[in-house]
Amino acid sequence: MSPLLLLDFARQDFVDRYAGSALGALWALIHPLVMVFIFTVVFANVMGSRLPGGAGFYNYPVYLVSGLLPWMAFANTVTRSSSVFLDKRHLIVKIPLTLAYLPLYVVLSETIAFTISLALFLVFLALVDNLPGQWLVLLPWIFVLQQIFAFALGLLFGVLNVFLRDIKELVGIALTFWFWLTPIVWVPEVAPSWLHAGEQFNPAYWFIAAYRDLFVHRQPPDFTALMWLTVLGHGALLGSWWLLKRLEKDVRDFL
Amino acid sequence: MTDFMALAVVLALITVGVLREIVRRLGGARGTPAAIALSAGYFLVVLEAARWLVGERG
Repeated sequence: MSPLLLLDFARQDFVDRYAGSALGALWALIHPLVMVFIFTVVFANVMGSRLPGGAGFYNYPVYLVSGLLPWMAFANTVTRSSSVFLDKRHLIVKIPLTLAYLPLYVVLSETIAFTISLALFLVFLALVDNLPGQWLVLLPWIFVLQQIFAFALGLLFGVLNVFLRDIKELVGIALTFWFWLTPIVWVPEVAPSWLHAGEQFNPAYWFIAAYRDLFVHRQPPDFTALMWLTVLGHGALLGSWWLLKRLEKDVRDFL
Repeated sequence: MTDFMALAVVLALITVGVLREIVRRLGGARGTPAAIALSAGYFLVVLEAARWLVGERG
């Protein structure tokens, strides 16, 4: 599949989200802006939430948003990719598209949304004088690793969803459980010991913790965890690709 | 900061080269597994290099 076609799909996907609205693509700026504002006001000002041992006024909102933004990109990519073959069924049956690369347009579209949110988050951090340190240069690599894993899961569920439409709903439920089992809203220190120990085996925690290291603790991330994410993400991608190749004819027949 | 800017530039150049190679392999008939393996190798090398840098800087 041509990279230009993927870019066009991603652009069209982004345009379609706000089609017909008066403010158009400005909503892509407004949503994250409102989210950062609400979390800051509610958790820092109203509830007075602070991290254990943290002294900064905005440390909890920074902790929360630095975990929430990558999680939203990850979860949206997995969820939307899991229905991509059905959503693009009208094109697949007419044009000889390479199925394995089709979910990439969702990855691109979510990357654009994440980049906009991240830019606004960095502006917020600059305003509250809490900019991350030099290790921020590693952020693109962490994000790409996270999205490779999301793409692999999305491709796997996308293939299965063609045969069993319940998969998309199950993915939504599983992601809700996964969200609350991962320290995004809560801090690991307050978790029971079994849950705290279990986080070592949670791939979402591997990349969420890496963002927290950059934004909250201003230190290099845990490279061992990111290496495991590399192995897991690429392994899952290879497995999903193999499954699609095995079932491609059936997928096209079902569509 | 200069070290990190230099690191970022070197990584960016390597990334462009690896990306071009991955895209070239993806264009081939059976290039996808090779492209995935290349990508995994690239990330492992970058992460190991970053870890080495942290160790060097103490």
